[in-house]
Amino acid sequence: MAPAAGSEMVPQDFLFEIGSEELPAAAARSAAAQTGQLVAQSLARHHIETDSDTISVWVTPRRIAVFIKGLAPLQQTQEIVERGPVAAKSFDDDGKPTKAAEGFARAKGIPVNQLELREHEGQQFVFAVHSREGLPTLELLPDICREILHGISFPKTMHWDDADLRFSRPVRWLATKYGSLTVKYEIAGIISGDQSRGHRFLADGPVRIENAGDYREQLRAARVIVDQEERRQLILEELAVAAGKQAASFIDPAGELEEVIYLVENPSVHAGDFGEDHLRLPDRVLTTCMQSHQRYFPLTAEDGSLIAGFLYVMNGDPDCAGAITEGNERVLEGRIEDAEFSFDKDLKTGIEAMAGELDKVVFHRRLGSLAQKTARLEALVSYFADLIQLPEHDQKTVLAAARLAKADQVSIMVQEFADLEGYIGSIYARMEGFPSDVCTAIEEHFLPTSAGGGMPSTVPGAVLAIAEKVDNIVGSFAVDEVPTGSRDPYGIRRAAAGLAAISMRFGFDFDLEVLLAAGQKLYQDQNADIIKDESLTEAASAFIFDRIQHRQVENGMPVEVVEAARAAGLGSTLRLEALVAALDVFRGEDAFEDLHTAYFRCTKIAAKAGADLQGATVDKLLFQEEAEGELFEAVTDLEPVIHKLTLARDYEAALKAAAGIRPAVDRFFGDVMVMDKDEKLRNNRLALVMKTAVLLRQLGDPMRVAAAPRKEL
Amino acid sequence: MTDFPTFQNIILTLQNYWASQGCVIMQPYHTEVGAGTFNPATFLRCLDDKPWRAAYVEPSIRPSDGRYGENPYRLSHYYQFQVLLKPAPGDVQDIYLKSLAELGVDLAAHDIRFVEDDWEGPTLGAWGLGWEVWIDGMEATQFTYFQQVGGVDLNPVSVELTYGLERIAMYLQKKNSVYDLIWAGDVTYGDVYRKNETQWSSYNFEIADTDLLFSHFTDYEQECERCLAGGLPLPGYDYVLKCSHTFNLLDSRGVISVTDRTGYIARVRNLARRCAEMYLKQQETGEEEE
Repeated sequence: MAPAAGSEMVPQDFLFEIGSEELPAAAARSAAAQTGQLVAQSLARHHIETDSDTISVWVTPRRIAVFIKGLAPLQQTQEIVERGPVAAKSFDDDGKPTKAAEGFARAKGIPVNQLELREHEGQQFVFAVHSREGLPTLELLPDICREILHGISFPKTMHWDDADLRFSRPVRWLATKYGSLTVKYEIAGIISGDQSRGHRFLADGPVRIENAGDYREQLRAARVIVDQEERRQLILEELAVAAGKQAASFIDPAGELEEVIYLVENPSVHAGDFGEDHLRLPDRVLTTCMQSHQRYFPLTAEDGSLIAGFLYVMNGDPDCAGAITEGNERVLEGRIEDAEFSFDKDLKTGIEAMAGELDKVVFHRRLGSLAQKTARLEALVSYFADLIQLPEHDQKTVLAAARLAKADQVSIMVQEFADLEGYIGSIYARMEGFPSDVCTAIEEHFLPTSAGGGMPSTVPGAVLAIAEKVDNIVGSFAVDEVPTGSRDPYGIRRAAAGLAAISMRFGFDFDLEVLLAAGQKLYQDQNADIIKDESLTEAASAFIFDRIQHRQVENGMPVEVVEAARAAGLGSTLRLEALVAALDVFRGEDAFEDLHTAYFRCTKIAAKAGADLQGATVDKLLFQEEAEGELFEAVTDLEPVIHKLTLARDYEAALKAAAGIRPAVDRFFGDVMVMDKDEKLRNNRLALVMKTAVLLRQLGDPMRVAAAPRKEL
Repeated sequence: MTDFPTFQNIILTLQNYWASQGCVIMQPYHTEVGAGTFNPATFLRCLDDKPWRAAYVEPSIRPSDGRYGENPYRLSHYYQFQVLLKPAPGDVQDIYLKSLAELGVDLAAHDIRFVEDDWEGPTLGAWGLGWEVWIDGMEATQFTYFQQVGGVDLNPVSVELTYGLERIAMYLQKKNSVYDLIWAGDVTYGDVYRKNETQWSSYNFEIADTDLLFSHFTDYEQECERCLAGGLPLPGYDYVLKCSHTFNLLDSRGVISVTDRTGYIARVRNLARRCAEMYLKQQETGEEEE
């Protein structure tokens, strides 16, 4: 029997499940993040009123499910508005409808007296306004499902048969229910129905969904927890309990939990062991064996040291955990033994011998071997150490570290686990008795490995890290392989950002171009086949400053403020960052207006006169007005003040002091006719104005600062 | 009596199973390849739109993976069991899983996963999306829906299944060293292959004449060109394989720098692409059949 009309006109739960072959974890995570909004947008487009709180998106490896609690049964009533003639032509002088209005009303099928007057683009028009009853939601659901399925975007898609559908992995079924009704439609040859599927191995076969509202529990009965947040909580709780049983904590340095959540439909946590004797391996080697690829969770004792066990999240039947754990243990044991095999081979070779092998390894076809790179690093750290006046002890440390920094590149461990570069070298150096600070510097010289990533913790580590980055940046410019678009094969952008971040953290104040030039000269001294042009250091330095600008802007600094600071032409990244910060503070203060005005007046007249007087000297004897002498004196007094404050990198105080010149500038322009007919007088006055502007510009370009969006307080 | 399959029984079981699925059981190709994908039964046969199902064992020759027979997990010569199904069946995952059951894996009693693994073969101009299939944490099979091969966008899509035979055998036989695997009766994998690994590691890492290999690479490249000029993509493709293997040997000798690598790979890829294009064209026009 057909349901009585109207009985279905109450809100019903809605289920749309896209069944697929196993989605990559990243694709599943991305689907979980974007689908809710797609659903809301599609419903809105179809005029179906929904509260976004009622929309749930549940994603497992094998399904993307949309569930809506109580979805409205009808579209909203829609107002259809059609514009007719302008009001002036619709009514005559007596206010009666004209022929035009009557014709329009007739055409739209409504009585002429029901036309409405409304404004459109500043003019009054008559409008025919109809309201249209909404269609039943059920009729619109096929289109909505199509829109959702086609709307989900993945970083990589594929096709799997001759249908014209791309998705992250093959789509195999579509289950769609509105209350107890099955919504029928077809997408790319797949016919929708009421059948979902349970856990692939534990409850295989179709699961018929009677009511959309039962879906979650029916799937639970079929051994699938559809809600990713529920799985996350469950896994976290079980991890904590399982670790607690061994009086240990679990760790997840690589963040594998986020992957694991989307690799299982029926999670349970289990514990496995590996041989105690493997604990002699460095921690990061063991955690890498456990986490990378296998996605196990290492366990640590109270003191933070690893214990010979791990936790893993299983998708199978918990009742069969015994054999499954055994299998996982055997795999891990194999991985660890394999790593141990490499580690022991490396130890037998020794870090000194590895360093001796570096001449056989090409750093870059045109930039020589790693032995040559090592020689450059040694020279560069010495040069840099002088530049920043590093204490002698640190100099010795960093020099020793530079000599061994690249040695682990020939180790088997780095060939196997590239992430361990630097770290494993430091372990080998430590085991051979090198001083601890040397080993730390070796470990830290790759840092930071990502934007905002961990930084060197020691001065020698920081110095070596800077030298490493300078050598890479110069090298990449010297062979003209600079980053383009999204391509940055040598990680040069990251190196530039890292260089600036380290300088900032450690307060390294040096002229970047000087260090880059030293780096370039080292390549030249090795007769490398490179671009020898002097413009190289300029370009490389601009590139590094661009990275600083990029990061500053990303962090919310107005680009104008950064550009203003860059106009000061500072050579030191540390100084540039200090000036940016100072300008950003100062631009919110009243005194900024003084600095801005003073600078503006000086540069404006200089530009108007087309003055090319940079370096021209001011002749006091040519002064005629008192104001000229006053400004000259003010500038002469200000120069050493700014010099002293900037030397101390106190840019805020320097800006404040500079703003103090405004009264002298104002009086000068009030009392003095700069563009005097006498060329000598005129040029002398312009020279004074230029002198003032040049001094102020040492603190950035106030005009650019003023162009920044106003600071919101 | 043993309660696990021998190495050769694993091969026999897979061959029988895939034969029952309509696969042509091929034999290993006659020249060195790094993976079963290089075998023309996969690389060339997946290009056109004619249905094709094949299965075969392929020795995988990877010179730089050798460890002188000292490492229980690494081999420069090992075996893959390769399956190619064109077009990809809609229930291919189920068909595949049945093969594991045939090998004696109780699917409900183990933890079997399909873990994302996107495959790319830069020397073959090929890529696909799929998984590595795990059994209790062990990678048992590469499962790939080919999207592009030899630079050609594939339609229909083929599925490639590559079983790592030694790993599966180690899992089923619960062995911690590949050399302890029971091949047949009381013959172990070590009996058959350990010496081989030792000698080939020496050759691959120390002895192989690099000057000779460099000139071979160029010779093979030119011979491939000549084949293509003569309208012979099948012999031409054999020279692509020889180039690829020569490159692998040079690589294991450590005489190819990181930057030069890219250039060599591009040269092989370029030849592979041209062989694929000519093969496909001949398939479409029936040109090679006089």
